[in-house]
Amino acid sequence: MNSPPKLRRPEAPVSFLAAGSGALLATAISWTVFGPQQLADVVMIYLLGIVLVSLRFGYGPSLLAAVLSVLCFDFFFIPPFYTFAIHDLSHIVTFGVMCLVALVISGLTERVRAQAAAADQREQRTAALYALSRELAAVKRVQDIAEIAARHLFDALALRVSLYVPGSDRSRVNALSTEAESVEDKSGLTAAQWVWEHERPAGAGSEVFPTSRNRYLLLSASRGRVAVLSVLAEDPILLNDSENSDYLAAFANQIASAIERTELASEAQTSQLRMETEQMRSSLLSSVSHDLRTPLAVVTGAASSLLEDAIDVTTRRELTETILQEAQRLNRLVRNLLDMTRLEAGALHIKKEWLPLEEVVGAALNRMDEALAGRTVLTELPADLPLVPLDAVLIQQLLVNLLENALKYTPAASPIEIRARVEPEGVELVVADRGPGIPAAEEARVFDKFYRVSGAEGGGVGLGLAICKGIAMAHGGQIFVSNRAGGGAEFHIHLPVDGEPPPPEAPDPVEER
Amino acid sequence: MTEVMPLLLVVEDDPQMRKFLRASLSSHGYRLVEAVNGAEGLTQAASYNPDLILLDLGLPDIDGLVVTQRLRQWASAPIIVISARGQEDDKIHALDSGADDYLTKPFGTGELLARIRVALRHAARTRQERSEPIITVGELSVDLDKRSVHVAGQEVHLTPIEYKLLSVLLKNAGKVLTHRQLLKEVWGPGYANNTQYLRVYMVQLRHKLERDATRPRYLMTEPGVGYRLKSDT
Repeated sequence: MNSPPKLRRPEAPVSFLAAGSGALLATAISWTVFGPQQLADVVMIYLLGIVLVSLRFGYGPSLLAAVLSVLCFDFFFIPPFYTFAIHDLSHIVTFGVMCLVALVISGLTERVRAQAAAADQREQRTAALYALSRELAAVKRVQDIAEIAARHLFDALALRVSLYVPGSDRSRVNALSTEAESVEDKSGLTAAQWVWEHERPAGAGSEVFPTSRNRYLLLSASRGRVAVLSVLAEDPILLNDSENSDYLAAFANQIASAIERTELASEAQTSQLRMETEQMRSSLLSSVSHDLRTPLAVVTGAASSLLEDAIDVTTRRELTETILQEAQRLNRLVRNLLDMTRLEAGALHIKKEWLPLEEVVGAALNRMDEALAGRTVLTELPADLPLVPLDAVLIQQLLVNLLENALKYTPAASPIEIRARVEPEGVELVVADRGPGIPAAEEARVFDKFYRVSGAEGGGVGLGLAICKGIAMAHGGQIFVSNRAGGGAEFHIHLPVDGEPPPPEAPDPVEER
Repeated sequence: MTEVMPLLLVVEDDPQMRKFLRASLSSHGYRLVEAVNGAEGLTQAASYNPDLILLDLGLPDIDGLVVTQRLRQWASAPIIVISARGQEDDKIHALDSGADDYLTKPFGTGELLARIRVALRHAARTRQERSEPIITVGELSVDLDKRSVHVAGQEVHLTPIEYKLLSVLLKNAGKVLTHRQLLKEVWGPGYANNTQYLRVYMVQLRHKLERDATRPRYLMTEPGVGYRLKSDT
C-alpha cells in the first residue's frame, strides 16, 4: 500500500534488540540508583521501560521487554541474588503483576497507535478524494476525466483503471483509451458491456467473468448509469478489504458525477443551440414574411388602382412604375432566399474555370448597368492579373450583391471602386465605397445570415452578404470588410489560385488573311 | 410598305405568362399562335410554320431541350428559349442543340422584343445569303470585304484569330453564342472544349475594341453561357 502511517515501525530484529536493551537499561538504572532495598521503585523503573518500548516498538517487543524485565528483576534484585531461584513466594505475585501491567500498557498503546494510523490514513484518503474532486471540477471532457481518474487511483490505491463510456445511442459502451492505460482486449469490452446492460459488477471477485483479472464496476450518478470502470489491482486481496472497497466506491462516485456533469453541460449546450436556432428561424420567418408582403402589398394595391377608370395618365404611369420596381425587389429577395437555401443545402455545384477577373467584373457591372446609372464606378485591375479558377455565375452574383449593397447604403452620388491585386496565394478583389462604413465590432457579423447593421435604413433581409460569404467559402476563399481611411467600407474577397492555368496559347486557326 | 408582320409561336404552359406574352407581343403588331405544351407546340410549328418560336424550357409533357432538338430536325425558324435563373447548363444545352437565344425569367417587355428583333433579323440575313459588307455597331465598324476594323474612325489592327472571332460574333450580332459554338467556328471542331483559348482572345479583343474593358459596350459576357456582341436594336 502506498499510504502507510507516517511513523514507520522499525524492522523486527531492531525492535527486539531494543526491547532487550530496554530491560537491561532499566536493570542498570535500578541497580545504581536504588539497589535491592527499594523494590517498589525498581519495579516502577522496569514498568517505565516496558511502556517506552511498547510506545515505540509495539506489542511483541513490549512483551519481550516484560519477560526480560521480570527475569532481570528476579536475577539481580530478588534474594537469593544472581540466581533465578525464589525464596519468598510473594515475589511471584510481584512478577505476575509486572507482566500483567506490561500486557495492559502495551495493549493500550498498541490500540492508540492503530487508531492514530487509521486516522492518518483516513485523512490522507480524504485529501486524495478532495484532490480528485477538485481536479475533476475543472474538466469538461470525458477523456480528461478518464486520465485524471487513472492517475489518482493509481496514486491512492495502486490500481490501474480505464473507462468504458456509452456511445450516442447509450446502448453500447466503448473503451476510452487513456494515456495511463492502453485499451484493453476484447474480453474487457464484453465484460464492460455486460456490466452496462445488467447494472451489476463483474470480473475478478464476482460470479460473472470470474477469470478476468479486472473488476468491472458500474458508475452511476443521480440520473442513472454513466459509464463502466475497469479496475486492475496488482494485489487482488486489496480489493476484498472493506475499507479499500469503500474508498474505491467513493472515488467511483466522484468520477460518475464528473461524467454526468459533462453530459449535462453538453445537453445544456445542445438545447441552448436548439433554442437559438429556433429563435433565429422565427425571426427569419417574421422578417422574410414582412419583406415578401410589403412589395406584394404595393403591387396588389397599385394594380387594383389601375383597374379603376378614373385615373389620369400620369398616375397610371406612376403606379405602373411602382409595380415594376416592387416586382424587381421581390425578384431580388426571392433570388437571395433561393441562393441561400442552395448554399446551405450544399446543392450549389461550383463549376470552376480559369477565367480573367476582368470578364467577371465586366459581367457584374453590365448586369447592374441600369441601377448604377449616375454612379461613378472606378475599376482598377492590373494588366498582369493571372487567370483565376472560379465559377463565373457565382462570382458575378457575389459582385452583384456587393454592388447592390453599396447602392443601398451609400449616398446617391458617392463613387464605388473595384480593385484587384495579385497576392502570394491567389488574388484579392476589393469593392470599396464612400458610405458610412461598418460600425466597429460589427465587421464580422455583417456576413451572418439575417444580420443587419444596427440603425441601417431600408434594405433587405440581411442575406446578400451572407451569400457573398457562402460563395467565397465555396471557392476556398475568404471575405472580410474593413473601414477605409477617409470613410467608407471596403470588402476584400480573397480567391485562391491553386495549380497551373492551362496553356494560354491557342493553336493557329486556318490563316485567312 | 405593306409588310406582313411575323408570326410567332408561343409554347408556354403557364396561362398568366401566356397572357403577358400575348398582350405585349400583339400590341407590337406580332401575329401569335399559342401552345400549352411541347406536343402541341410541335404540331403547331408544323401546321403554321412560324417565323419565330418562343419556347419555355420547363414544359409539363416534353423537356424543352427535346422539343428544341425535334424542331431543329426540320424547322429553321429561330427559337428563343425561356428559362429560370440558375439553369445555365440547360441554356447551354438548348443553345448547342439549336436554340438561337434565351430569356431568363423574370424579363421585361423591352428585353423580350429586343431578342425577338435580333433573332428575326439574323434569320432574314441568313436567308439573303449575302449581307451588307460593312457592319456598324455604335462606334465599331467592320468592313467584311476589306477585312478592316475601325473604332471611332480609327483603324484597329487585329490578329487573324482576333479578326475571325470578331467576324463570327458580328455575323451573329445580338445573339448569344456559347463557348462551344465560338470555338468550333474559330478554331474548328477539334477545339470545342478549350474555352481558355477563347477567353484569352476575348480579353485581347476587348482591350483593342473597348474603351474600358471592364465596362464593355460591344463584347458582352454571359456568365456560364458564352458571349454576345451587343447590337443596336
